[in-house]
Amino acid sequence: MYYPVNFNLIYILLEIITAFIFGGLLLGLHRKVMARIQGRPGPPIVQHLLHTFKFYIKELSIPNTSSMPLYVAIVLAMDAVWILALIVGPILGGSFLIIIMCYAVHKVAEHGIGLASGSPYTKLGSTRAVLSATAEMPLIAVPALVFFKTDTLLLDGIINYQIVNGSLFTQLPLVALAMFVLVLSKTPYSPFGIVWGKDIVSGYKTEHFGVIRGVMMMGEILAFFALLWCFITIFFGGIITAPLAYMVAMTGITVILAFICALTPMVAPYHAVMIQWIFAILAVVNVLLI
Amino acid sequence: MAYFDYLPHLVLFTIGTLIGLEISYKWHSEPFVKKKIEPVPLILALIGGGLMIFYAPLGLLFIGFVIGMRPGYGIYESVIGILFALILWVTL
Repeated sequence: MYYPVNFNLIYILLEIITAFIFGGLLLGLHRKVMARIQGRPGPPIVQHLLHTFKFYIKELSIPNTSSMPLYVAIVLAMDAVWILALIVGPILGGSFLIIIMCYAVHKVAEHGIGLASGSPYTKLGSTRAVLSATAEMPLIAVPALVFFKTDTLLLDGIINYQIVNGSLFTQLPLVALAMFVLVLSKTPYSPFGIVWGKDIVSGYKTEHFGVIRGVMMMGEILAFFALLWCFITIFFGGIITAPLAYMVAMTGITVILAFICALTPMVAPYHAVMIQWIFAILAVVNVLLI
Repeated sequence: MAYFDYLPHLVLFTIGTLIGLEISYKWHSEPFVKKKIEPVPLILALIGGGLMIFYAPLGLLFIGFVIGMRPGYGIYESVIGILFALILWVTL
């Protein structure tokens, strides 16, 4: 463990800023690729970052129907959770279980954001957040199955296992697919993105404007980066080690995600649950077969 | 090696795209029409491609300028600049 060496604030801050800028560019690329597939010029790659910064200079208006402390605090909690995930993951190479916990708390934050504003649309979004939590079977299946295989849940340990025994992607392809579905479900315009479906305006985000929306978008960018990093580390950790290789791999996966998002309509909430359960069961079958 | 080693690359690329977006809207205020390759973005892309070999962050600033241009413009120029950088990287 090298916690004392790496645990200095400037190092952590620089890593988080890098993750934020790179994650923002990736989400911009995601929108650009989606637009190209759909025959549109699409926004510039920097658009997602611009959007985020734009909200920081917009007026903050808090609805009369909202529960003000929760309205503000839960968004900050969402950011804090993903900053924690970044510290535990890319910076310290700590426990995968803590990152999974961050993912689970993100669901709670989505639910809280939806309930806080008092709008019927956001409440529908928050209800869907609870429903989609039942779809997160891969969230439990993936760490359990990876643990059975590698005998550790420390990210450094998983990387070391792969350096010795080869990539987990080739050994547990269906588990990798289940984790990929998890990443897909957190991608904008995802077929599983029922919590911010346009049929309920913008879901749980409908009533958040100004700085608070900017903070929320920052959390989403960090979440996207952290999840892509986890996916690459857990299944390609032995092959991809250098930060530049990680960045190239993240870009590649973002393009694949953009293809899926552009070509797949949003599924109905119950179908989202069913499909993700199927992937989790396939992951278990994968482990039973070997 | 840490991720923030690439912070200058990312920051300069982002600044390049922002400048490119701003300036290209001044160049092209008309409704979008498909055009041929423009000389200025092409030169900037080639300079960017060349600089990528010697000092990547500065190269990314120029390439970012062309990539970040108004949607629909600067596509061919970007591809030429990136290909130029790849050719240089392979040959040098």
